[in-house]
Amino acid sequence: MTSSLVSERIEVPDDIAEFSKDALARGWSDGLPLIPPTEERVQAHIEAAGLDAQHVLGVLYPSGVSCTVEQLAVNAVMAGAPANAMPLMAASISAIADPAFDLAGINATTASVVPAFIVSGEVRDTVGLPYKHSAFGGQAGPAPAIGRALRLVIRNVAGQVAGLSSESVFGQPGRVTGIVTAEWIEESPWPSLGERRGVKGDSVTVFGVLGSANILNSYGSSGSEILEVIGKSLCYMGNNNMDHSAQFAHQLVSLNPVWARIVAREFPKMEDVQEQLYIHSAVPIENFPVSLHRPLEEANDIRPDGKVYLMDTPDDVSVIVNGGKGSLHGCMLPAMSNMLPVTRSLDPATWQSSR
Amino acid sequence: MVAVLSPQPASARISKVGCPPVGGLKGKRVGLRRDRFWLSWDWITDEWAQLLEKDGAEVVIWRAPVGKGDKEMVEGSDEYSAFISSIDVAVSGLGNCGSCTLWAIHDAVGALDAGLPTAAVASEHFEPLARMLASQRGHDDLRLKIMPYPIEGKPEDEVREIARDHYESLLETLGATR
Repeated sequence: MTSSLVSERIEVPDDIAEFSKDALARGWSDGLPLIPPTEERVQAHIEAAGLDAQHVLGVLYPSGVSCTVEQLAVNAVMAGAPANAMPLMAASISAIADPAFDLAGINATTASVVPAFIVSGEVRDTVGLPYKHSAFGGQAGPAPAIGRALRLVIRNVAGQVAGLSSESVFGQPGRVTGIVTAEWIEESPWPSLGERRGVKGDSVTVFGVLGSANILNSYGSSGSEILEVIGKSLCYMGNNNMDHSAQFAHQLVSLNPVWARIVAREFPKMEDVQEQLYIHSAVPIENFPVSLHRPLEEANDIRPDGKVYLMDTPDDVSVIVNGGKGSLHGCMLPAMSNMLPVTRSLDPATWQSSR
Repeated sequence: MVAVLSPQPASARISKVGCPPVGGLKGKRVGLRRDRFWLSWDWITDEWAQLLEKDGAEVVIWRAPVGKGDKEMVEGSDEYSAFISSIDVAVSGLGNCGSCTLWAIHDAVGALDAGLPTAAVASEHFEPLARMLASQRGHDDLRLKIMPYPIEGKPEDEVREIARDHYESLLETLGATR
């Protein structure tokens, strides 16, 4: 595909260490070493995207800039992300630009929220994404560079700058290298996340998460027990959606393949798994500090059974399967409130905003 | 040296028409935008509504919905359009966190773009963010009423007293006369 590039040309040192210093001074960098985005390198990434350089992937906030394939490619080159991940990264940008994801709120908020990208389909192996041991970080491969490329787009195109346009009090490591992982669908008793959300084949689903936390249950005797432990872990009092000011949120949970099998023996349908998590993620009002009773009551957060529920309905949690077969642990990614996950096929023809 | 492509888009300077003053308050319909985040903002706007009415204005309160999905977001946007078309003056708040500041400014700019005399309200800590967001949307000159920080979590009586103390300054910010 022939593309004419419109980005400003700037002379910089060609030595990577010197360029990285220069880029930091220009406000282009996250502080890690960067690869100079020469026209030749950027063109190769655009070619791999299979889209025109000026194709708009979506409007990103707070800047309100229309992010093009060219801008994505420049940042992807700098981050060291492989060219063959361009279709995945382009779909990912399209997903975060969907109004339902509320990127504007996510990028400005005091919370530590970061988009987490869950990949379904064969693209997992084409690109080489992690899905077994250390699926959420730690396995060598392209995922950190892909995540970093998406974070550089947030920084350089969407305009999220800590302390300026972002009020995030603490931030988190995922704001540097992103969170990019894939499903171990061969070990999953349930259809892929993308398929359950209406997209067959290769897809990416983005969640606004506040980090990842481990859930240990070394006994793991039954599906009911595993889901009760996870549900009761999810509804910790400081989860964003336990706060009276939050309206709704969508939690993300990963089961390791061993737990997935145990759970599926008792709950073969995903809807029943979600129902169990919904039921168990509730806290009696008397467990809250007395000063919070009135705000929770005024927000209609106290149900007739006297509990505050993390979720409005069982649909407000997604479950995937990945991670090592050492079992023992689940992974929860508590959600930012007032935004929804978005799924995109890797087929650009389907990327019309649903709004 | 080597030539590279900038990873940042060229900044486009947006210039919009200024923020008109309210002028005489009597007989004007003043719209107060609430959200679903801050009890303190409900109490402040409650106090201001009473004082505005004493000064001869009619007050309309609108609460911004939180859109769970596209349908609700579109409906929320339509509701807001209907709200600003029914008022003469807009007061949009409260900027008291990252995301709520963004939406308070977003809606203030929406009212300004509709030609209404408008003020956004933010707490002191979030003033720089509010000004940056307004500037990005072409309104360096947005009228911004700054409230003390922190304000949420204080006793209701104290917050209401703060609201009354800041009423004159709100009128000044709006360019409103009695």
